[in-house]
Amino acid sequence: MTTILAGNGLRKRFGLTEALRGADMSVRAGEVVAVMGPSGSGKSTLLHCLAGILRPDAGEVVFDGRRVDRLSDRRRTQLRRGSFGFVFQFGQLIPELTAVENVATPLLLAGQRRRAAIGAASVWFDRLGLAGLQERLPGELSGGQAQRVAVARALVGRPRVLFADEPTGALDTAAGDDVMDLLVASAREQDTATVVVTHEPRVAAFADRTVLVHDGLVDDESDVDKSDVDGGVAAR
Amino acid sequence: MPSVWMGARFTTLARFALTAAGVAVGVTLVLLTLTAVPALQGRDHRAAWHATTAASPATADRALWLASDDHFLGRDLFLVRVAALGPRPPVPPGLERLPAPGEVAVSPALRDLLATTPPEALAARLPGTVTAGIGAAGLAYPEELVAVVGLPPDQLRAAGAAEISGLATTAPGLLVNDALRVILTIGAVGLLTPVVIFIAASARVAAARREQRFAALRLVGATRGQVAAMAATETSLAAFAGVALGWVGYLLARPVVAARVTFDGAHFMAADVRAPAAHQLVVLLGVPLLTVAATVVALRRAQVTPLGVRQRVRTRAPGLWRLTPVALGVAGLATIASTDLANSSTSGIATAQLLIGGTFGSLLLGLVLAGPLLCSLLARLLSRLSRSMPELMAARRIAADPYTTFRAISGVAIAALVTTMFAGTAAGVEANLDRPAPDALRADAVEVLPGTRPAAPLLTAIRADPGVRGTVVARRDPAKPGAIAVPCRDLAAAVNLTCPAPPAPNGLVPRGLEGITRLDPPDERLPVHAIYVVTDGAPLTGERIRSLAPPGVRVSTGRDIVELDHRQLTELEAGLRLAMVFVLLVATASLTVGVAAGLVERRRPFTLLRATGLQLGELRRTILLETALPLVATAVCGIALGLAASAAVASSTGRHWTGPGPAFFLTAVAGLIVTLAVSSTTLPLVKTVTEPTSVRFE
Amino acid sequence: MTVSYALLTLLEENERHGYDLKRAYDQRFDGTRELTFGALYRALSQLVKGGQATVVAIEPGAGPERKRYAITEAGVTDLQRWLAEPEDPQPHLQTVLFMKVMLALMSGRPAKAYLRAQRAHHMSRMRDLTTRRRGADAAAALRLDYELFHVEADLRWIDHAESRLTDVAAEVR
Repeated sequence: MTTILAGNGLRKRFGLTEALRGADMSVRAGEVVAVMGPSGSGKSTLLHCLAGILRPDAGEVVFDGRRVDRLSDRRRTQLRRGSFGFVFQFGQLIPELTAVENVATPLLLAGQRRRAAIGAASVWFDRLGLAGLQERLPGELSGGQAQRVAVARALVGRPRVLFADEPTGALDTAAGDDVMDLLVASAREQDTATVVVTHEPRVAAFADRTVLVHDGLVDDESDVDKSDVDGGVAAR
Repeated sequence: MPSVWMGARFTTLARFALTAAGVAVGVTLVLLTLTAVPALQGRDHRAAWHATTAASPATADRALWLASDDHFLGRDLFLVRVAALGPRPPVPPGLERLPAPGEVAVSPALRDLLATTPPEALAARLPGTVTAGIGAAGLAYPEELVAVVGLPPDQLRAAGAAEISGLATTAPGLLVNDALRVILTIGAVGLLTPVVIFIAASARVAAARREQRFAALRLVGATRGQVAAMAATETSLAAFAGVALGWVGYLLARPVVAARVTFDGAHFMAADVRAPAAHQLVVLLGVPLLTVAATVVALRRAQVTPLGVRQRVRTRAPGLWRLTPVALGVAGLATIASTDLANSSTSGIATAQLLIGGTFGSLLLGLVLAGPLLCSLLARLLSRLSRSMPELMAARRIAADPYTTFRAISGVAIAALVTTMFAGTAAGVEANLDRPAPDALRADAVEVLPGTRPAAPLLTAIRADPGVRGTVVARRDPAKPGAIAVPCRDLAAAVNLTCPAPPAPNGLVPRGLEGITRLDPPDERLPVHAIYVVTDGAPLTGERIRSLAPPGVRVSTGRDIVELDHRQLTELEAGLRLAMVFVLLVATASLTVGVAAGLVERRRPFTLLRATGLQLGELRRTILLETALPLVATAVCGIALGLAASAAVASSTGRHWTGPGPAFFLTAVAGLIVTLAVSSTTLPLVKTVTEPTSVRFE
Repeated sequence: MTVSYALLTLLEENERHGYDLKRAYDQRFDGTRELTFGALYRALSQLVKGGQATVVAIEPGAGPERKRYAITEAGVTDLQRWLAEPEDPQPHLQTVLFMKVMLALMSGRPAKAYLRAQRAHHMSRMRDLTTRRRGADAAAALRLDYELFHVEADLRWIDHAESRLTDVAAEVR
């Protein structure tokens, strides 16, 4: 599988704290990667750098052969709009827009006609078990429903990469499992690579592999798992 | 508890400052408005003695009194000739004693004028030497021109002086009447309303944060009452600071008002520009109460429970009933338009005034009530027409809470309605004034009515003046009312009229031609009725002629009356413009605060939207759109209602309504643009507040 | 099994008598199951038989004779291997995971590397369980969930242990 998104030697400093100290991470097309690590380890900063929200102080971010870190703010915004999808912990829905309008947002921003955008957005409601909730306002949805609406919004534009930052953070395990099930299944279905930042092993277990962020550095766990452990077992 | 307060120190401070500023401005304004009645009353009262007649109550020995309302270059000059008939004659206020024959007392302004004017143009009217000044107690306003001239009794008697034994002490009450009080009350309320709206908007600054804080307090056991008390305490502290500031502002503004504000072309006595103590007390205590009430009402919308602010769901859409007052107002306008106010009886006028007041009131109330409905309809229309994301977001935002949307812009809407109403009415008055009066005295002509005084020496004196180009003498046969003997062609040199006569009956008829319907051939034997002097047009020439005239002769120039009317209109317009600038300013401030509050309130979704690829420009467009659209729409409605109202009033008074000129509309558009521009100062805030890098994903 | 490796770790530090070993064990692993003399000598004789330990001296004394034990080359190699090797996730694994961390710290071996390896191993099991659950019927899914929650508990402990390593190491050494 080809790497579509990679961060190499990423450094980012906020005042006195160094959130990233030369982190490397790559995402291959269509795969699901979990980013874990203790609070304050820099995992959200890593996600923001990869997604082009933050510009790293040093290092490079390459998406599809393009240096994201060198793009202007405007171009990065366009990139995020066109190629990336986002799910956050909570509060990303616009309170005055109905659920279906919220889902249609990326399509409308991309210049689609209202009717077509709403139509495309509606399709997701059945798929995500939200049938009949199209006209609800975000304030009238449960946490799990709102999060599924957010997943639909993130995926409706068929992004190349989906970024999810603690997508189940505010949910109980059952609702969280449902959201993750739908998120991962839908992403795989349309071949969207997914980066999930989480501190919950349950959520990370939905991914193909896990990377660990510790003190601003990335440990690729799959390497550990393959070499050390398999080697150890083989020696027995 | 202190830490809870510290947590939101900055926003608390901002809210405190905004509230205090709003209260301060409100208090200063209301107090200044309240000075209007005492100031006018003071002017009235000080000038009471001007109206002295033989019928004035006896308080002293007898004296001879001959007063005349003279003019100097368009300024009023009150000239009274006196002669004491006993040892204790009545003395006008501001004087220590009555001037003896040959003595003249003048007001400070007149003294200055005498020093800079050629004596034949002014000093000639005051025979004698200036020996005394008239103090403020005897002057209606600081720059009033007043002269008290002492003359020998026999000369005065010959001039037709009245014998008095006391001065008039009760003010004629021409200035302060019920209508004025009503206008001032409406003005004060009109000025105060935007201030209250501003205070309410300030209370909502960072409301979400504050509500969180209150929720935390409720969680640890504070009752609803305690939380309300806390909010009230916070606000009333700001309110009292504002009241103190406002009072200081009022004290500082008093001399400025006295020095700057004119009414009837004259300033007020500084001592009169003072709100009565009782009124001050009411304002100083009432405004904080009003402020607290506004805050509590603003907070009530979000009932604070221990678990935080209740989830915001759909607000109920505004109902059609909100159109009732507007409908009543429009019906009232139709009624007014069909009433003939110009030709109705006194009681009819009183009813009409009531009708006009009620109609304007219900139009104002109607605009405020119907505003949310208008916004809601607008949102529905916009959402149907919307093509882009910003349009849809703006439409939904307005639709979600048309009340808040309208509250932010209501000040501007009211300003639009009131300004248009007055501008339309004033334009009507002006149009009537400007209409050429074909039979009016020419600008370079002077009319002299000798009355019972001998005309021949006067005529000789006038003809000797170097600025006089010619004289036309109109004579009159006492037995032939309605006719004067003068050649039409000669008269036409001084008065605008068509020959052959008769002069047209409409317009400003010179006093000497009032009631005249026929011109007879000249007849030297008849007594002189009027002298029309054609001058070189220099203003002082007219004043010299005035100075030649002995007491009892009336001299008028064509400008006297017209200029007075123009002056009042200009003052009205200037005052209105000032009030509107203020209202617009405060309204703009509320709007700006409202826009900023709305932005901060939606900080999180906006930030996350930007993270997901919403361009900054689109976000700004959304915010601009959700402000500008309702603003322009309600302003247009306000202007339309204002035009209708002024047209209705014009039609009822029989005047020709032209509507305000293009200058007004340009000003209105400019005002709207300025308002939008000022509230757009929040747009840079959009960038910083919603910076995706500032997201904390807690 | 863990007892044997604990004894080996202690022997790696020093040659010891049986009584010494029991006292040191009880002191260090206070709170885990108490080591009886029977279990101690059973383990020791197995270690000697397996060639991981050896008797270096027999000292006469009051009462029974006292044997002095020492670790062998083979013993060190075996200990090394065991400490590096992640355990298969299974319920009630806690004691083993805990002992491994402690023994690694005591013997100055890389406890963190062990924890990382164990973490990866647990994560891989969770992924496997999650994948299997996706196709499973409800009852089977519920059973898999049971296992998932337990493995997750271990994982949480592993993450937690890593953040506490420095403190514990300072105390143990």
